[in-house]
Amino acid sequence: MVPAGVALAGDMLSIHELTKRRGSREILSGLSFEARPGRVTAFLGPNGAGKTSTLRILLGLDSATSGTALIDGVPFARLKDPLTKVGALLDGSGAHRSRTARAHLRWIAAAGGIPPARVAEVLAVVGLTDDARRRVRSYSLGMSRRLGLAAALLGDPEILVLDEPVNGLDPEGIRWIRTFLRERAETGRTVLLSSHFLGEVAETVDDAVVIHQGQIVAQGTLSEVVGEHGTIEDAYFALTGAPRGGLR
Amino acid sequence: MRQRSDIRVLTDAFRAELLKLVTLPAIQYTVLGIWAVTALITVALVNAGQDNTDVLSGPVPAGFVVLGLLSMTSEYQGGQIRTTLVAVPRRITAYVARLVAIVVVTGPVAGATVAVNALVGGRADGRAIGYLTATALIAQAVGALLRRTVPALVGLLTYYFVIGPLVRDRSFAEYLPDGTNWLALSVWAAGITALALAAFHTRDA
Amino acid sequence: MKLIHAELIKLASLLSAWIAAGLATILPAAVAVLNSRSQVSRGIDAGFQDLAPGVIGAIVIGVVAVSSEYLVEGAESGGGRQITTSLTAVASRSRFLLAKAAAVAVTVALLALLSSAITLTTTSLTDETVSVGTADLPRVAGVTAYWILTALLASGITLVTRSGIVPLTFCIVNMSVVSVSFLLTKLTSWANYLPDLAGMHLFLRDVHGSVDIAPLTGGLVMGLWVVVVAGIGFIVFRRRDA
Repeated sequence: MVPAGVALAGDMLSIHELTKRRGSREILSGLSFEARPGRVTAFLGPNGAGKTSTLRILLGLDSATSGTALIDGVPFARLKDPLTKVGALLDGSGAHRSRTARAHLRWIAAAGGIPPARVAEVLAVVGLTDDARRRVRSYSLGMSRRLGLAAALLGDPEILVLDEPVNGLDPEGIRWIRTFLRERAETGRTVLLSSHFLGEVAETVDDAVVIHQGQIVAQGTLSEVVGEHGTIEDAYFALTGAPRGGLR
Repeated sequence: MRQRSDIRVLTDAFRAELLKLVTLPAIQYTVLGIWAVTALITVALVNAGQDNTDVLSGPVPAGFVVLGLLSMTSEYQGGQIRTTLVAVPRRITAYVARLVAIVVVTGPVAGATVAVNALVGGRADGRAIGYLTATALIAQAVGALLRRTVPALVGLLTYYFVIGPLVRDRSFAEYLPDGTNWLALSVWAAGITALALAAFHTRDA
Repeated sequence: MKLIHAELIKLASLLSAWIAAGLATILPAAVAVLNSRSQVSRGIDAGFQDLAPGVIGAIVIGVVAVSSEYLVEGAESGGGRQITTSLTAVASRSRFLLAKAAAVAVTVALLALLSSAITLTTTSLTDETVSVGTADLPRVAGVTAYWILTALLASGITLVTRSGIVPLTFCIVNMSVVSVSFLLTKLTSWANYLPDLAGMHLFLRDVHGSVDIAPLTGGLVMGLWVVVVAGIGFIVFRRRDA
């Protein structure tokens, strides 16, 4: 699968022939793609295309009907130090509403065997230091997302898996996360982000995988995917068959 | 990169579960509520000239049902279960760590409840510590199976406070989950916990 | 009417409400069958005594009608609470609450009538010493009133707590055989005027209290409690940020 010459210095995500059925409905049909070290890979598709389902399987939250989703050759559930390997952000904050942000991060750090001092560091990175003692219920959507990101960064992981990371962020936050993700990739780490929001993608990503109704319709470097369509937006609408203007 | 040993992974997960339980306000309020209600009703029983330990088999188990249930269903609020499983992907490790944390919290809470009852009322019932802890364990397993607080709470309370008392006079009553037979009680708690563990192991989170 | 209809639809979409309906209708009938086998003469309250545990269904409906607006469970809930949607759909909080109360009352009343019919029929079929006739209709009305008032009381408490856990635990434990209210009557005779004990006089003639209360008085005392508790809930709800 891995082309010769691609050195596996960092950690790679590889999805192979992934299929997921719920009842009689096939949500994912034989997905295969990779996200490589040193690159930001975008996982694109409209709502309901199967992006979140794929990421949930990758993180061992849901089981696949068939196929594999591996982190550096190993299923997520077999990782001994998952937090230092993979940082994950799914929808919402992933925190109980009545806990404080600090208490939330502290238990995660404890579970991952990460020194508690790291909690203050990640709170500072995402700009929540002043709100750390507030309960999560009082957080805005943007703050909840920042808290989720802080949790993902606790283990300073080799790989970041982010589901719709710009959702709920203000323009300043979006710019910050773009720069941040580019820096991660440039230090040789792996970043996989899903998105249905096209604006952010073009400037941040190296590779793109486009999914539609549970199937991959295009993948490759950004320029390969854009191909003759001119812009990523045109490519997206052509590939997913979505009516123009139907999405933002 | 360093790798943690299996034992270390389990003890780290246990510490995390303990932190989760003690920093959850609902758990704190439940514990305080249990002690307050125990003290209040013990006073009432003593004044009425009744056995003060009656409260431990009467309303107090309800508090331990809530304690056990919340310790499990709180995972399903705010998507916390995802965070848990990303930090501790091995499900058996995650569940066992939580189970031990629940015992470590409810055991002493039950002990203190019996102590409050004995201090206020005079007579101590040490056996209640085991019964109350087992009740919390049964409730956590039901919570893990149903994953919804209100239906699980309604089911448990209906059993413990309506159906259980109705069949109390029957010959089989001592072998029920709210009965007096220790072996039966242990089998119930272990059996339903095993069922919950199996479900947690196989189901999508 | 449209608002009440909307609240009825919301209620019907709750799993807990259906569990409650099951408990309200099946539990009393099952108790009636159990008691009829006990061969002990049960006197004036035969049948009606069996209806008492069914009030658990009323409690659950009263609680979940309110608590479901606040509780978010499930992995992909998106984090939103229904109350925000409800209050943008119905700008007036008073009308929202009145519609909710009406939906709860209508549902519980239907359940009470259905359950009374099932239970009293079961009782007269299984126990020859008992005959239930039209003379008992006022007591059926009493049961219905008792269930409705209990449900509204539970809703009122939930409005303040916003979580169903406290009112459910408190109300279900208290209606059971280990009733705290009943225990308190041994401390002070004033406890006979607690809502649950006073209200029981609506349909039971042989309440083991230390004070004799007429059915209508009992109903009025309980009604007063409901007005006070629901009133506090109402004020808290109107002043609080959703």
